[in-house]
Amino acid sequence: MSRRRVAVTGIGMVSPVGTTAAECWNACLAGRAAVAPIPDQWRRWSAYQSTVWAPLPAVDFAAAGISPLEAMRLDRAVMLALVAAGEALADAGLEASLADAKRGIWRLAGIDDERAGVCMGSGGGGITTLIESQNSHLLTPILPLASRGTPDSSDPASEALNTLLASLPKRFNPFSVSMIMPNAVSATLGIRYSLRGPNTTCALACAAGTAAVGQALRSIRGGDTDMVLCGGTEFVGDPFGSVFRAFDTAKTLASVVDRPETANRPFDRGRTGFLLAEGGAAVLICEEWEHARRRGARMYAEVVGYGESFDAHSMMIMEPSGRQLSRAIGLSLTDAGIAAGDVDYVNAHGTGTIVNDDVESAVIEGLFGSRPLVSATKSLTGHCMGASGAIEAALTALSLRDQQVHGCVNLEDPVRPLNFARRSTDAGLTWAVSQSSAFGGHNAAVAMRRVEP
Amino acid sequence: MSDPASPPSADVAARVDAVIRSVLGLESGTVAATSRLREDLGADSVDAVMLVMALEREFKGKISDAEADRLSTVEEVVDYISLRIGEQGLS
Repeated sequence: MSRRRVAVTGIGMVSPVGTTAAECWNACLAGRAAVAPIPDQWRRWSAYQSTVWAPLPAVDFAAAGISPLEAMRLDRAVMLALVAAGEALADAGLEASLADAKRGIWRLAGIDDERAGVCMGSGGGGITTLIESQNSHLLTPILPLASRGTPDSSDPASEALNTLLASLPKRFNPFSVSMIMPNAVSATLGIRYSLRGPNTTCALACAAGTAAVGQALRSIRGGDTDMVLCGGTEFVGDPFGSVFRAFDTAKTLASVVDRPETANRPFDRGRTGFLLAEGGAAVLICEEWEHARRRGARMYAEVVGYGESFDAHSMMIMEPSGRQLSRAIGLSLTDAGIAAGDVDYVNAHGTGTIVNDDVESAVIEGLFGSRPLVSATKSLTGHCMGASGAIEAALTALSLRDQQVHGCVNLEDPVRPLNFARRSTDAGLTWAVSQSSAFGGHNAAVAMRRVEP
Repeated sequence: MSDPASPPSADVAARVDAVIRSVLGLESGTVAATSRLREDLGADSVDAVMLVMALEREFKGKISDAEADRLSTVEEVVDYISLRIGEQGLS
């Protein structure tokens, strides 16, 4: 019996370079990268080594059906996932009708709800809610100071305290638990669209989105589901820069000397670290091939292989030989039934850290030589953490559909002589790989094939 | 803005009606003054929490949990909010 095949039939996306998949893709093709100074307010709390990040554009949550009331009980990472999921479902031609107004539950037409799953990745889950609820908790006994006012507002300590007190909500959020837990992302999407198949969460830090696509492939191929909403989401833009400080203190972020717009430079010899993104989300509708065909769905690409491995080396530094990253990519190719020489495009993890780009470029050279095009989406979007693998898998599907690769911007002096796409490039692409590595030591790779129009 | 020709409680009642309907997903005209939040309108414990947060948002103030627990009908909510507005606690 032949293996069940999986197509990507819908894409939704929010990232620092756009609030829809089309906006993000067009920005990437145009080489419009996101980079901005960190918020002034953050500077009250630390003298950071890095002073740039990739903020999100304004997102119209109301237009995505998230009321201000609902927003009070959803972490921003979940809200971003809802925006991307709504776009992906509409893009896939799956119509939703309201089933329960009070709970905001919708039902998808023509879908067996018990054979439709959700698998979302996230690095920090509701980390922003955790930070805010902890602030709210710790400051409760200090709240009376807010009405008294502090005597000296020119004193930095008083000013910081005033800022904190003014930021506090009126009550400790009673929905904190369900906002913080990482599975809230997949659970919210499952409830929202009445999807009752396997509902899982991939907590593989920066490889989470890639792993989620891989798990969707396995779930559909294995026969448990006919459709899976998969992808990743992240939001780390807490009002005080706590998450930014954690990465900054660990010396992982891009430092700026004079030109902030070129600070983010994956695979360049002058790289200094990665550019932290405020957040992002991507949802891919992965659908069993015949299921998609029967309903006349448009296909972006076929997901053909998945591979995963673990360094067992260090929580924060890639294993220097890259052996396990290489093995994860190799496993995805074996799963797809192709050889390394078949691959036309590698969407690299490409963070811009000294170690990642050194090890990853050696792995790419060792596996593929210098034939396939190589690009790094993070050179444009910044590092969207748990969303990044999903954003990159979705953009890889778009590359296969449009036969175009976006550029790896700011690459002037490559760390290795690979076939880097330094600007948008038209190319005949049949097979592509998107790969990720993560804090912890996780490696994951997804292989995709072009679908003939 | 309240209509100067109508008593303040009418304005409060309309705003409370809108808040309750948005939290409980109810159509216009389904909520009566005598409606009981739990028994008649189907509010569960999570809805009750959401309702207090939504009222605090609408009327810009704090409602204590102890006070909120005593409110079981729509008119009790309206009366409570009207009283608190009189005391300058809400607006």
